[in-house]
Amino acid sequence: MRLFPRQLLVTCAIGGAGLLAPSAVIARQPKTQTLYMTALDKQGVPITDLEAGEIEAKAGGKAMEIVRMQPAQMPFRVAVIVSDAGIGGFQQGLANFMQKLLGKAEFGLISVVTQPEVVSEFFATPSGVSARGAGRAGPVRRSWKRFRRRPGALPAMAAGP
Amino acid sequence: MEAIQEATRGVAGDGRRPVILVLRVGGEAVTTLDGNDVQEDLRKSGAVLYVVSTVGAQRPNAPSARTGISNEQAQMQDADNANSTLNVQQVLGDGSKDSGGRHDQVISTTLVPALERIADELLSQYALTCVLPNGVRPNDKLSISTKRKNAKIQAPARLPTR
Repeated sequence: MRLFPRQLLVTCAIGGAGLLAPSAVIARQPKTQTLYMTALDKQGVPITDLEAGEIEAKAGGKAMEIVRMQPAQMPFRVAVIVSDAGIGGFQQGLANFMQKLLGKAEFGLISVVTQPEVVSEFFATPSGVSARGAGRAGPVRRSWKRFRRRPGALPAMAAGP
Repeated sequence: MEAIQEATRGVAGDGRRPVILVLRVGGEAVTTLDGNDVQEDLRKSGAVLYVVSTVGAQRPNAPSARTGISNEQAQMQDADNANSTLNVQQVLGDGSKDSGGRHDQVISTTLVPALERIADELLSQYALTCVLPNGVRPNDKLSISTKRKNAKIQAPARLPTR
């Protein structure tokens, strides 16, 4: 099929406009940023019924418009650093902490006795704890084991090392 | 400090909220890392830093036996220790606050409730989507407050860098 110069020009113009339009629309859209925050009452208890109208946010001294505020759903990645001089004093607390976040977080463990030692890379369940660091980091590993013995622990944990 | 720096490298990941939890009894080895550098790494990672220290963990390390070194060398060691303690305090104190977390001091009976409270706080986080005003850049100062009486907001002190 033969295209005349004018038809060719019109076709190109339409095609070009189609290609450029989306980027122009994107450029016009305001830039948004999602931030995470916690609200606490006088006793340090989390407030869970806060609304966007009760919040004031500023960046660089300029007020920001809040377009959405909702309970955060994104899972966590928690790096736990235990510097307990090898005494294992944090076992119970750490086990309770992990139990509360179970299913919503993956954990990595770093033990510091003299130097930092990665006991475990990030895992969502304690069954993923590696055998590394079983020596000096023993107390940290024991907190994982204590956590695994909890009733209600995921079935996958029972099969762990 | 080295452990926190290492954690900042691994904890940031797409689709996950990064958190660093430090549990310490004190007496860490002397560090040569600068507090500002570690704080900057923490800011870049976007992680919330929570620190739980047992009472007494803030005390500087006791000077070790110094046989066979001169007075000048001993003074240099003391200066290194003091610098290290200051840098650690900067990251654990200012770093945790600026990240949207905090530094708690506990005794044996308050340790477990303190950690449970941190877990509850994390589970009660809000996701706030805001329109960035023109001219605002990453790392600019961020301030989030509430009009509700007796309520306190814990949020990062700077805009995320990514």
